[in-house]
Amino acid sequence: MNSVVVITAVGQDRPGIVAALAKAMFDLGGNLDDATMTRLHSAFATMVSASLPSDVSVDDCRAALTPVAREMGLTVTVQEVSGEGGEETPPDHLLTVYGADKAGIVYEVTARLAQRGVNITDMDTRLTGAPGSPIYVMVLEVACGDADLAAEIESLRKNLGVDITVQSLDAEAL
Amino acid sequence: MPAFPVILYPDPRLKMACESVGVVDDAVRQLIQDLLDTMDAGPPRTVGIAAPQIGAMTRVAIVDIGRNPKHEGLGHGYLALVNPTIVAHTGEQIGREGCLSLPDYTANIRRWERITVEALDPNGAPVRIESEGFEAVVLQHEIDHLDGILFLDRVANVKTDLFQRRKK
Repeated sequence: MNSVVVITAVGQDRPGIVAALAKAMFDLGGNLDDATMTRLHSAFATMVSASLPSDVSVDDCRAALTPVAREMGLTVTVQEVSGEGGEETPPDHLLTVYGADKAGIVYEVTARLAQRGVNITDMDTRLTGAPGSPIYVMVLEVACGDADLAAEIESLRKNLGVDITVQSLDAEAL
Repeated sequence: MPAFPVILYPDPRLKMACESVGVVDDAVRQLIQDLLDTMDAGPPRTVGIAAPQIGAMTRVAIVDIGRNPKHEGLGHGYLALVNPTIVAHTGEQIGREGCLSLPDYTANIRRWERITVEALDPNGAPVRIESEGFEAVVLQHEIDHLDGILFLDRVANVKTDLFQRRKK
């Protein structure tokens, strides 16, 4: 039985982190699937899903990554996930929320979405703008299904004083 | 003439639609010159600017992709457009865009691949421009400004970027 795991590794950024993790997984016979890796402040954060060969357990995977964690100064977690699901609600909309930075933008927006049963499949936020006038930008890929967000969006716009654009994600071959 | 300061988001003027120009007169030509002076003073490789970015809520924009050496000799060179409208478009393209009014931020934006723009030139004569590729992107970006639309409103996917991350 092949296990699917999600590995997270976070530590002070330095060259070679991804290579070290990838080598350990390669030596284990694991197959890397999807990965999101980015620098956050001075840390480097990686999240990767991987399929393990049938003779490799989740604990074997943890053991294989322990020396890498020590060597690279990383906090590593390995979590087994069900190979099922996740595909039932494909993302169907892209939301862009942006405005003058203030506390609570992420909370307000995501809480409204959660109340409506909207699933966030991907999210990227950035603090930008000129010094003294910070701008917060959120881009969210969401699965709305039948939820009608128009009223929520309008009230978020008013309450937060942000601009929000909703685009339908048409699967187009480009 | 000195350059004008470029207004930055969240200035609400960047989200407002501009007024059409009735008559292309000396005041409009002066506005075009102001835009040119501002573009000259702006960051190198600035390839377009729209009137609302200097606080003039008028449907005027200039484009010159040749200011980026990468695109030199392509497209139509310097274009000064009054009341520009996209009258036809085909295809799609996605490319990275930034904006003078949202510094240090870029995102992948979905645009038409080829467009036909009708406008008036600085003498008030009608012009029709067929444009494609990068120049078409810049034209769409500037015409969007005249409608109060920023590139963030046309983000194509979640991945966005900063030239330089700022710390809170």
